[in-house]
Order: sequence, then C-alpha cells, then structure tokens
Amino acid sequence: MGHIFTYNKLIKYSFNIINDFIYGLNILLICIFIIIIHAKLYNNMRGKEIRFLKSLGFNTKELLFVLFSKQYKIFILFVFFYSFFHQWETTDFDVIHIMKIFIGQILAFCILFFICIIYNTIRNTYVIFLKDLCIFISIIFIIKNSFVFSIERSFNGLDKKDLIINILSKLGSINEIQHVVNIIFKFSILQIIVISILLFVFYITFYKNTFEVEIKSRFKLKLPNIQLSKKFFTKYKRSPFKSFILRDFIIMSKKKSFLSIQILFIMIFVFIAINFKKIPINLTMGFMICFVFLNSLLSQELFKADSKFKGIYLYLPIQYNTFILAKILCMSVLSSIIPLLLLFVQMLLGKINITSFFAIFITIILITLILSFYFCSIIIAFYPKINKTDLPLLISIILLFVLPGISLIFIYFGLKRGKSKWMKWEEIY
Amino acid sequence: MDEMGRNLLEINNITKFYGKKKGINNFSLNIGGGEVTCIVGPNGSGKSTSIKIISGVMKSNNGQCMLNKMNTADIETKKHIGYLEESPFLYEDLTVYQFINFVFSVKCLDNNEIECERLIKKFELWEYRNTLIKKLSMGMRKRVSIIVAIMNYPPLIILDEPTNGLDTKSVISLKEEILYAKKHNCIIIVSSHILDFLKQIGTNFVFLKNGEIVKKINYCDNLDLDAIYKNLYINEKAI
Repeated sequence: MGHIFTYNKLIKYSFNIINDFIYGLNILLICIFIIIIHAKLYNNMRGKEIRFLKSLGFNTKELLFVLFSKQYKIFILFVFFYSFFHQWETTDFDVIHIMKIFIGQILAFCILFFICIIYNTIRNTYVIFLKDLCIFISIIFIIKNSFVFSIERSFNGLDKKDLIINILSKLGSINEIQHVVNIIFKFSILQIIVISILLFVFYITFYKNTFEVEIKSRFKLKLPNIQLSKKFFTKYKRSPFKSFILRDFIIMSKKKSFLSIQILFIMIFVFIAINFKKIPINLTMGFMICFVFLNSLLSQELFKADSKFKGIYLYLPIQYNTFILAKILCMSVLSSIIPLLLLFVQMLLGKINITSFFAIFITIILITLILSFYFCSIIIAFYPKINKTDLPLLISIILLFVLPGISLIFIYFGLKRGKSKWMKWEEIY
Repeated sequence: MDEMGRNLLEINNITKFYGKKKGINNFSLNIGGGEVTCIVGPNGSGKSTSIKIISGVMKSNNGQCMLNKMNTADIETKKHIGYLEESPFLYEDLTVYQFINFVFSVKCLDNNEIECERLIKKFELWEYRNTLIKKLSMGMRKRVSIIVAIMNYPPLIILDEPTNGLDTKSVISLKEEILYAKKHNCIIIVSSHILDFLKQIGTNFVFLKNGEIVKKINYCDNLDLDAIYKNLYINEKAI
C-alpha cells in the first residue's frame, strides 16, 4: 500500500509540474501570438492594400474581414501549437474533444485578433516603447486571469449548466474575484522580468523601423549609416574605433540569426528558471558557455559587411591593430552581454549565490575573450575572402574541443598572416 | 449636381495636420463637371495630401469635400470616384483581366466585359490580359492602375502623377481618355510635375505652396505655365 501511495503521489506531483510547465508555455505562446498578430496588423492596416480597398468603397466590416483573413498563417500556427500543448495536458483523444478544443481555439484567436485591432485603431502613429510594454503586460494579466482559458474550458465541459454557473460566478462571486486578485499578486517577479525581456526582444525585432524613427525624433539622435561609404568614414574619421564598434553593433542587432539565438536562449533560461528553485552551478555554466559559443560562431557576420567592399583598405583611415581590436572587442561584448545579463537576473532572483555568480562571470569573460581572439584570428588570416573561412572555422572548432592548447598557436599565426596581408593591400593602394 | 445638371465638387476649408506641422491649410475649391483641374507645386507642397483627402482615402482635421452633395469620405460616394495613387496598389497574384474585373465587380459597374475589353485594348494590354501582374513592367502596372481609375468614367476622377513611368504612346492614350472623360461631364483632378502635359489637358490650374493655394488660373491660349512656376517657386528662392 505504501508503495502505491508513494507512486500515486509521485505521479500527481509530476503531473502538477507538467501542468504548470504547460500553463507557462501557454502564457508565453499567447504573448508571442499577440505580438505577432499585432505587428502584422500594424503593417497591414497602414499598407497600400487597405488604402486601395478604402478607395474602392470597402466599409469597416469588410476591411476587418480582409485583415482577419490575412492572419490565416498565424492562425494555423496558433492552432497547431495550442492543440499540441493541450493534447499533452489531457488524456482524452476522442474526436469530439478535439473539435471542442478547436472551437475554443478559434474563439481564443478571435479574441486575440480583436484585442489587437482595438489596440491598433486607438493608437497613435508612433507610440513609445514603454507604453506598449505596459499594455502588453496588462494583456498578459488578463490572460493570466484565465479569460481566454475559461472560454475554452467552458467548451470542453459537456454540461451547459456548468458553463452558465461558471460565467455567473466569474461575474458575481466575491470569492472568485478574490481568487483572481490573488493570481495577479502571485504573478512572480521572475515571470514579469522574463516576459518583459522576451517582449523587449520581440518588440525590437518587429518594430525596428518604428523604434529607430522614435529614437531619432525624440532624442535627435542620428544613427550612423551602416553601409560602408566615403561619407561614413569621413564623418567618423576622428574615432574609427568607436565608429567601427557602433556600426558592428547595429549590423549584428539586425541579423535574424543573431536575434533568434538570443531569443532561443532566453526562452531556455525561462524554463530552467521556472523549474528550478536553485539552479546548479554546472547547469548555469554549461548553459552560458553554449550561449557564448554560439554567439561567437556568428563572428563571420562582423567581417562580412567590410569584406564586400574591395577598396576598404584605401578608405579606411584605420590601422590593422585598431581594426582587429575593434572586431575582437565588439565580438566579446556581443557574445557575452545577454548571457551576463541573464546571469545577473539569476543572481537577483536568488537562483544562484553570489560566489557562483562571480565565478561564472569571470569564467564567461575569459572564455568570450579567448573565443573572440580565436575566431577573429582565423577570419583575419583569410580576410577579405570571407567565403574561404567556412572550412577553417569548422576545423578550428573541432580542434578547439580536441586540442584546446592549439588555439594559442592559431591565434598567433592568424593575426600575423592577417597583418602581412593588410600591409600588402596598403602597398597596392 | 449644379443647376445645369453638371457634376459638382465642393472643397471647403480642408486642413490637415501632420503632428504640429500643417500638411495643407484652408484648401477651398469648387470644380464643375467637364473641368480638368491641375494641381501644381514642388515636392512637399501638399499635392498628394490634398488629393488623398479629396478622394476620401485620408481624413482631414477640418473642412469637408462634397461630390454632388455627398461627402467623399462616405463609403457610398467611393463608387463615384476613380482614384489613381502616386504609387498604386495592385494584387500581384491576379492577372490583368482578373484585377480589372475585381474592381468592376466591387464598384458594381455595368458593361463589365465590353468596357473592360475596350480599356485594356486602348492601353495596349490586351496581349497581357492573362499575365500575372507581378510579371508586368512598371509602365504596364501604371497602365492597369489608370484603367482602374477611369473605368466607366465616374463623376470624379483623381489622378496623382499619372505620367510617371508611362511611355509616350501611353501618355497620348491617357490624354485622349482624359479629354473623353471631360466630354462625359466628369470632374478630373490631375497632379503632375510635367507642365507641358498639364497645359494640354487642363482647364484650370491650382498652384500650391507650403500646403496653401497661392494661385488659381484658368486656361487661356497664351498661358505660360513655366513662367508662372518660375515666378512662384524658383525666383523667390533665388531672392
């Protein structure tokens, strides 16, 4: 009996963990979908098509229908992911049950769509980021209050009486309101921080143009032209080092590959943080090293923009040492900035202690610097023929795992070869 | 309609703000059927803004625009307006014929087939009628948009930079169509930078500067648009 009791308890415990995990996933999923629908609607509503249809005499309802029909790809994705998580959550696999979930999802999607429509129609052309963030977090709270879930659950329930009672209790019952209030206050700081970071990353991804216009108009900042041109270098002649770093930051922040790695790792971090009260130091270390390593692998991107321009050596009022140091520094910062931020958040949340924090912090910085030197030296050895660096980079990665000591030799020879090539180019021009 | 049964467009004190800046200011104009009004002005003078408001695509902050006593912003009025945008929208995955037919059916126009065929032939798109719009050149796309704007000669035709990207032959066809529409009691508003083209089709000319009407003149034989333009926009700058 004792065994059965322990077994049941274990199953119940693991079931609860999975349920919480899926519940968290659902919230994240809905947040992501709200942002995507919102961004798509924002573009569509200001697009030429709507203006054209307006000029043909389409009324608001028809325009709404056009906008709604354009969301079908998002809808399919939404239904797919949502069904997947719900199938996981429930044990029933009968057709009626699936149909009910499907109807619930259509309703949930319609609600998301109309929230976005209302938000889009009442907003000004350029709304500052903080305002958006506040509204998004409010939406998360609404979802957290199981507004969407209640509809779906009501449809899952067979008894209509239950549905009515459920709605009435949601409207009138004090206990229920207290319960809702409790949920709001139980919304942990961790979840808010994590969701805020996620939203920020998504916001930057989808609203890059708006964001830049906003920054320019509000703070009178002129972002430098990221393309290589005479004008650029004439303008920033006095501090090529700064201009290089700044430009590289802008280039990398626009790369989808770089952004997707950041999002992926932030999401992994969220799940680790939610499911561990104390994160083991080995796990954190491993996670951070993987993160830094993948970021460093994108180092080629930093050199690509310059390599496209053959006369770069002529236009560059920059010496070899400055050029390579700027690249290494830029790569180090770009590779480690988000891992270090996540580490800091972990420390603030008490997921790791201060000693571990400092130990991991120093290790990450050291590893980042070594990796940056290593990859940059390999690329510079072949520079400006970036296409030829694919194979050497692959071999060097394998060697790094097999014979880590060899990296120092690679760094030395790579930098030396790069310098001799640079000097040759200078002589030619 | 006015007392003589002509179409009538009344534009009363239209003002549009872009943030704190005025896009157009107190724009007022009355145009009757059979008149071709040309809006002239340098870039940023408010031509496109005024045209968008007149066509009912954009809302103004003040004032209103009435076509035969109906507000152009109303949905029902849109059926009586043919509008060509500066950079028009086309459904890339439809063929020329499908797209034109789509607009015909949306506007509930009669004589679909005959009129559609006539216009497609007129603008030399007959052999491309079954070609997808995304495969057309820039000039051909413009021609499709012009057909859509002038089809069935609605009471109000608005053309924003209609000559952009057109070859000489198409410009001639466009001129002929405008003159034909003029005879059909249509109100035509055209905005363009090509003064020679405007001189050939225009009956009255409105000059815009910083969002305000600075000059209104009617066509006469010795009209020198170049000189007026220089006086208004170039000489003043030089001073």
